[in-house]
Amino acid sequence: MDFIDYAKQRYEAAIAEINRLKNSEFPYDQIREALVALEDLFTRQVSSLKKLKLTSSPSIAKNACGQTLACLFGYTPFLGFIVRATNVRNAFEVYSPALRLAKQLLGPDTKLLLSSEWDYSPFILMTPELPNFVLIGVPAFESSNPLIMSLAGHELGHNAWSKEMLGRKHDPDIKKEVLTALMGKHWAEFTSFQPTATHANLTTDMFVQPAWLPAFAYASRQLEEIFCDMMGLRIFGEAFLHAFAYLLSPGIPGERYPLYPSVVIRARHLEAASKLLGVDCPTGYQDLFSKEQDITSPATRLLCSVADDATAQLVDKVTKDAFRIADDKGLPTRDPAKVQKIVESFAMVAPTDGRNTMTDIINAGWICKKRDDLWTNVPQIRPETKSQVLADLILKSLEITEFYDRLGSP
Amino acid sequence: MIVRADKIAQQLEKPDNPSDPLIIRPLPNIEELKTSGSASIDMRLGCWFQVFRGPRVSHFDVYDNTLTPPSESQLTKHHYVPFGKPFVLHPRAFVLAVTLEWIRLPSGFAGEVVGRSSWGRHGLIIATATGVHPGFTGCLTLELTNLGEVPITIKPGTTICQLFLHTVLAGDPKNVDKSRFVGRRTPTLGAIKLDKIALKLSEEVH
Repeated sequence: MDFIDYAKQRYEAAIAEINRLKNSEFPYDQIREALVALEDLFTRQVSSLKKLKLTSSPSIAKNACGQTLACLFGYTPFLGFIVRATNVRNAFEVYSPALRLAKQLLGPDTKLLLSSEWDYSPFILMTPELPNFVLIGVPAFESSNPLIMSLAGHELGHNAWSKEMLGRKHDPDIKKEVLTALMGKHWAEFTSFQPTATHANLTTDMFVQPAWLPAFAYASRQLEEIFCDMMGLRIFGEAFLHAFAYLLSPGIPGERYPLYPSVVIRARHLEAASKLLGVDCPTGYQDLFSKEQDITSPATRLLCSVADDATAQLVDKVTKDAFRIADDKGLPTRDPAKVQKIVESFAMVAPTDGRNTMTDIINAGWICKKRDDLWTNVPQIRPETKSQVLADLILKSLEITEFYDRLGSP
Repeated sequence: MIVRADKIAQQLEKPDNPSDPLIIRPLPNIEELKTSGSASIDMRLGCWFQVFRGPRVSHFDVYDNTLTPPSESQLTKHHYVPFGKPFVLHPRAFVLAVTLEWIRLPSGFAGEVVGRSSWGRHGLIIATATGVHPGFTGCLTLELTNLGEVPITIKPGTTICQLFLHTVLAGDPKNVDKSRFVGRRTPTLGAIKLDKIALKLSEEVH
């Protein structure tokens, strides 16, 4: 059967490419480990294909080949991600402190890959076949900018959400709040779309349920995003707020995407949570963002409104979850005295010495970034090179932390 | 006048002018500096290297003003070697590297980077352009070449050169090094700029 041979050849080509990539320069060993893990996965697929020859059932063979093809489709972007993780445009000095943070939050077996992506939105990849790997991608042209690395707090939050099974924990509450919102102020509109719906059959009628279940899915994803924002805020404080605004403000024109909370609402929640943490939120922070256009589809717009209302009721709970998990895991929070000391060092155009947290270093970087008078009395630094010099000071400070870590300094 | 290591230690601990201090980070071992009796401070190899892309460049001619000078990324490629990993410098190879230490020189100090004799005797030459001007701040770019017969393995963190510091006669403290090499953590190639005299003298006379 040709399709079995084709399937095998496709995997052999992928494995050959992995073997070529294994000879690349790796800034840290976990990139190679990811390649080896992928090679193991593909080799297992080839083994299963080899066994397939023995079967006499073409439909079983086709199904199995289709599964292996799906695996190849799924993991090819991951291979690209690994390759881009080796690019020298990346801020490699961030890796070591980011890995420490990831291990603290997710456990000592965590393996981290930081890469630059041709995708503007920072994201996290979670792969079921490589369960200990956390992959964080940032836009390629920002991957050397350490100031946005505070957004890693948000991205790691997604892993924490999954690891702590918070989706499962909050599902009953989400469902309850979605139904409450639906049966309350949105009922008339909902029944105009779904005339057979009654309060009694919402959860029992198999024809009515699909009409509102998307609202549950939207609320669930929105709540996860808010949890991740809170995790980022808890770990990085002001630096998270600035990086969030730097990358996302004022927002992308166009329709609201229902799986995400509105960017204005996210900013509002961040402002509120900042007060709880004693984080200094910039005045008028929400005003940096623009409200997205309403969703055109009336049914989706309604379900999104239901999800928004349900999510709003649960923000406090996920905020507490994020803060509790971060506290339990002993994650850092910015130390104003240490941040100030680092700022003073940066003002001298020198990195800071000793071991410092990524949180303190990046916060100091943002304070300097926001200062109009930074280095105006330092003729060595030309205005057009300020951002580059500041980035280098932050990255050097992170490297110096790794230097002391490796020496086992207190 | 060359500054002795114990005096360097003193400047690092308690600078004469706190608003214009000598800074070296990571901070060297102050006690060792005080007792070393030397007149220099050891510098370690950093993690960034810059290797020339020979096959992509036909030649380098700063006199031909009909050509657009090649950019740094056209001429060279950066490599990051993490702590614990080797970089092998083959015989006759020439690469740019960088010190692990970030130096900030006050306006009253200048420096000079010199190789370590122990490496030199194995063929490793560290620096050719060695002057560091008052007010410089950043990691020092090193020019590494292996003049020996066998490849040499080096790793980031290794003490690879030494920095001699000189006091300079007082001048305008604001008149300090403004070169493009200031404030960088990676090696920098920079451009060669000819002055008016060199340009005039480089013209062919018919």
